[in-house]
Amino acid sequence: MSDPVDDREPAPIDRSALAVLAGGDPAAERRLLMVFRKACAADAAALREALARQDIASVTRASHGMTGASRLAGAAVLADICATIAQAGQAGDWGAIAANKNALARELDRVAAYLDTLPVTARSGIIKPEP
Amino acid sequence: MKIADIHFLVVEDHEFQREALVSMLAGLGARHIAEAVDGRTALEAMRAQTIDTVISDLDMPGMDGMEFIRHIGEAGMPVSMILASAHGRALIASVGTMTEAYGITLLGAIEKPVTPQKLAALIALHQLPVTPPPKAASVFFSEADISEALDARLFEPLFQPKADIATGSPAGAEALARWYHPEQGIVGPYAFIPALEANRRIDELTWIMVEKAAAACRDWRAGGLDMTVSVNLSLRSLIEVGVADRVTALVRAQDLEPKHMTLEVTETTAMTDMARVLENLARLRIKGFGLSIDDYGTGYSSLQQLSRIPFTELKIDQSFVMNASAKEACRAILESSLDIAQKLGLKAVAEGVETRADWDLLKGLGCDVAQGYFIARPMEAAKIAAWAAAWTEGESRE
Repeated sequence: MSDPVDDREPAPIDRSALAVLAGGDPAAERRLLMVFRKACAADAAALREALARQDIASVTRASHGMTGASRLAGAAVLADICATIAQAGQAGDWGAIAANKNALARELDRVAAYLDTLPVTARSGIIKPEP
Repeated sequence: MKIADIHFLVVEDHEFQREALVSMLAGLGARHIAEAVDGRTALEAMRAQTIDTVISDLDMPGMDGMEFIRHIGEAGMPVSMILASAHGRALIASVGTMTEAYGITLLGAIEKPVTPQKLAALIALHQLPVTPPPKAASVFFSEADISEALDARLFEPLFQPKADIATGSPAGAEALARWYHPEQGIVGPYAFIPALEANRRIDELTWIMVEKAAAACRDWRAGGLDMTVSVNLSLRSLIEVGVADRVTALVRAQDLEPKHMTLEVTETTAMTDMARVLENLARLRIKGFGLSIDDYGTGYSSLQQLSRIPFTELKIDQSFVMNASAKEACRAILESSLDIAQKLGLKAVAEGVETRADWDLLKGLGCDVAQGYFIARPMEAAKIAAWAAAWTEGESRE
């Protein structure tokens, strides 16, 4: 269900966004992707923990940080879900946060699976999804 | 300054966002990039090494962006700043204003996501020569010095031209008081206006300005220029009964018809004796003078003034014009000011027009007249004719 190369839906990360950030430098793009993978895992853990504790301030903070990072990295769907949660958090609307929990969990899984299956090609340094 | 020579400091708590900023800077050609995770570590980095430009997030755990900016400002560190935040344009703009209030050169504020294009556009501003902040009066003048200068009539107007935006033709000029000091040269109003207000001699300066401005405008018109002249007038000067007749006599004595002079009315404190002021203003209007509400949108230049004084012109404060393209709130205030001018049948004049982009924006919004460095800096009366002959909107010499 979280197959990164599932033909039925677009990849969770638009790779051209990272390419722009890296200024066309494959090594920089690889480094960015590694940092995003690490930061995303840390953000997701923090957000899950805050959701479990029903700590609305921490949820708001974590989802706000994730919105910026995922938008920057080209993970548009994840960014949209996080933005919705951050907005709900600012409004103190726990119901709206809860309503987006499943979508968040699903998209986090999709992004994590996508990132985990990206090998680095030794020749070009460009990271490509498996064919 | 080339981007490769600029020493950057990226202050961002989120690891990926920080890395992305570093990567973008490197992609743009930057070679010196330091990183910090919050304000405290950023200040440590700035003490340890040369930093020219700081790119900072606002919302960070530990020392946040606002406190960081305060420390930079209070320490007088000579850096330029770029702010980046996802907290909405109004908040970023407000912190931008705060940054400038601390005397820090603000290259700009970016609403996240940051892109290489947004960054490059702001970094390019660092490479321009930085405009020095307006100099505070470096020499102190005593009230006695200033009173003596007034007795000796050492105050003269310089004239800043205005242009009609629709036709591009010269429209008029505003008289701005200057002190021709025998040793210090030309001294600006900040050095003497407060003292003249304190010792209640400001009116004497006003009458000198009215007389000299009337004489200058008479000469321009005699030379074939269809221009008007504006003189600043504090509402406080209008408390005395008979002021309107006095102003009219001064202007007519210089062979200028009152309809060619506009009195720009300013008020910085609440008025108590409004009845007499309104009597004088009504009389001035009947004599033919134009009345302009100056610095509209600031202080006491308010909607209430608009509703009770028979203005003919609305002069939009430069702070709204200069920031209209960058700040949503300023743009909205500019547009609503133009709208209210149109609804009330007032001529709209924009101050602080410094660039072609400002001029084009105002033209698009239907503003009538523009004043500012894009048109011309203040100049002596005798130079107005040469300016008018040379001026065309497409060839600003600034």
